[in-house]
Amino acid sequence: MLKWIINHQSKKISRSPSWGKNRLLTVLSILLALVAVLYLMVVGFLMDRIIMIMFPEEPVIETYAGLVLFYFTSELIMRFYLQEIPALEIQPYRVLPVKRSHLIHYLLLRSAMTLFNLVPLFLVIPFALMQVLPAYGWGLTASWVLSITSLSLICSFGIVYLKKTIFKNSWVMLIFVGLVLLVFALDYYHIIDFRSVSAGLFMLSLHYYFVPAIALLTIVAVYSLCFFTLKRAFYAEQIQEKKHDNMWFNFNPHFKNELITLELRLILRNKRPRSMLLMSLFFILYGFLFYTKDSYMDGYAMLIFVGIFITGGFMINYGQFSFSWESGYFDTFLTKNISYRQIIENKLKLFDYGCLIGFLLSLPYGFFGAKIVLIHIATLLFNMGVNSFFILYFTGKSPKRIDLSKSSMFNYEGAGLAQFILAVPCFMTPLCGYMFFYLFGIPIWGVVLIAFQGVLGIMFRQKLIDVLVKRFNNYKYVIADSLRNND
Amino acid sequence: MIKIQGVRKQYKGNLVLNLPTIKIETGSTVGIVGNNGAGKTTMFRVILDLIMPNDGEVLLKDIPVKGKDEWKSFTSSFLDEGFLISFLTPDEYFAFVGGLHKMSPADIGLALQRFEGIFNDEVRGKEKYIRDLSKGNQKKIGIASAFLGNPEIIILDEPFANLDPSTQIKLKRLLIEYRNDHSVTYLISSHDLTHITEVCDRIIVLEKGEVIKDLHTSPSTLTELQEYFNNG
Repeated sequence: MLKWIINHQSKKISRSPSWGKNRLLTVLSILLALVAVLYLMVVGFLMDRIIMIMFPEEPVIETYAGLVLFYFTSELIMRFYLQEIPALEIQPYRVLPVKRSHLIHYLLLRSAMTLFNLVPLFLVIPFALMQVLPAYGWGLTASWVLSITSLSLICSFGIVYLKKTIFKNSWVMLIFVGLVLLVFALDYYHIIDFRSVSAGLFMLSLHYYFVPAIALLTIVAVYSLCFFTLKRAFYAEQIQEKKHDNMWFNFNPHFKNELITLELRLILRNKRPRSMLLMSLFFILYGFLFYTKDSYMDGYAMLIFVGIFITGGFMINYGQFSFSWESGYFDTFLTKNISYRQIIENKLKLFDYGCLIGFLLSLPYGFFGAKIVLIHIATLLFNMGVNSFFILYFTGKSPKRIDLSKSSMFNYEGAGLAQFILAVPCFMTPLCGYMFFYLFGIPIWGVVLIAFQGVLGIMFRQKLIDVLVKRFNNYKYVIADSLRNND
Repeated sequence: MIKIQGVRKQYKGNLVLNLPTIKIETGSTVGIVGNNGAGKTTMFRVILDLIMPNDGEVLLKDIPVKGKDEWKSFTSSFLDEGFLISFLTPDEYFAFVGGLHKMSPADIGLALQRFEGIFNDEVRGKEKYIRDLSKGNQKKIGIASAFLGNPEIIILDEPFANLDPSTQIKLKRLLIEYRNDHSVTYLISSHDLTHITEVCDRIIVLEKGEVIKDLHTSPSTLTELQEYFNNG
């Protein structure tokens, strides 16, 4: 049976309409994957040196062991959002004469095939070969590798179990994240020594073989726990991902604007746009990478780039798929009592709110210097006035269909050439204007120019909307057709 | 009310719709019947400006639909699930559509009262999203939303399909009652010859995109249609 399901699933991939149809995208995804693997290898092979630089006084293996639990606890949070149980894949087989237990085994094994379980291998094995092997020999090295990698499988099945039982409510998850952060904080202030717990645990595996044995037994235990939980839930619809019970996503914004309310609901009630929202919150943290380095802080160009990203993170991330998000009900837009102009106006309004919130959240960066606030104001205006137009202009010609019911991880549905081209005007236009003044030695005026461009865009917004509406009317049928096309 | 002028639509060289001039008077109820692939849905999509015809045009209240928004205020329609918004609850969807016609929640409640029998307590006041409802209930939501905002033209694609028998009968009664209370022009397609002859006063038979028959309903119409489809 398993053979059949695997056979069908591979056909699903190789026969999916997006496979091969979009050569460029396929090639790019493969390239991206290769680059990611390369990065992981580099990190894996340099791990010992990275640790030696960061903790020069401490023994390498012990420090590494101390970090393992940190890695897996933070990974657990990411897994919660990103790791899926592919319940829908078995839907067609449920009514066929197939043993239920087979289907559940398939589900669980399939859920273990995730990048989360692959990444640790890159981080563990090279380090083990370079540092652990010379000191402890083959047997104990195997014990060490086995202990750490089984922890990743324990997490993998553990999250399946937790998601099916207590993590159904998002509040529980928030409490969990809070607890994890608390542990990290307590460790940071040396109140409890989480690191030594981790170090103790994994150093033990370098002395006794029972540690990996226990780890393996734990995998079996967690796996059976999952198995029986899923088996019990198999009849009910519980096995399907349904998350509309949490109240937080049901909030009703008070402003009486149907289209914005609709779009907020679109974002909050569907997985992929929701994770995009979370992602853009993470983008705001990117500032720490740049604003703490003097080499970036001295110039302007890099800071402008970062500023656009921070204040426009939501707009760019979410907006690049404008209209694709609405593919499920685009015909509604075309036939109900709304004009395209209203749709555009509301999208721009939503972008404005997104940029403003990004700006407000990033205000604490002012701590690193007033210059940053100045740049953020300029890029905020530019995002609101000019980039919002670019985004709707480039996505407005041939948006691709997005099926909202699908998950977010490595889902390239809706991505096309437009998304790649889009970055060019969004980032190059402000930088070009800036460069002009920079060459004359008055870079600050370059920043003012960026702000000025933004203000112009906001002032002439109605004119820009005219352009978008005209463009839409030219391509209307093509757009509607490509969004409807769900072969 | 509705004027279709020589609309032709080709897909990859195949002529899928080739209509003569069809005029539909205000207040009439027109049924479109035909086997699969006859061009019913394509015809509706052209009328609603969802696809562009190769030739000809459609006028609603003498306004050409192409590239215009005016007709949307007095025309409402339900063709398929693409007209529903899957992640809203039924009430939110009604509020959205009603809101586009500047209806207050009370207006919407009042307008939906006549659907109470059809909804059968499974639609209103429920916190389920539309995507989690059965096909039948989804259909009911779509049809009901087409009656919001006092439309003058209502276009429904196979409204009886996917509904249980008693709902079909209730819907038939509702269509007739609503027509008696309001000045409305219906354009309805269906595979159910009995229902369509009972509701409509004019029936257009399509085959391969062409109009084969254009009948005013009389007691003999049902037999005539049954004979036609029996031979086809």
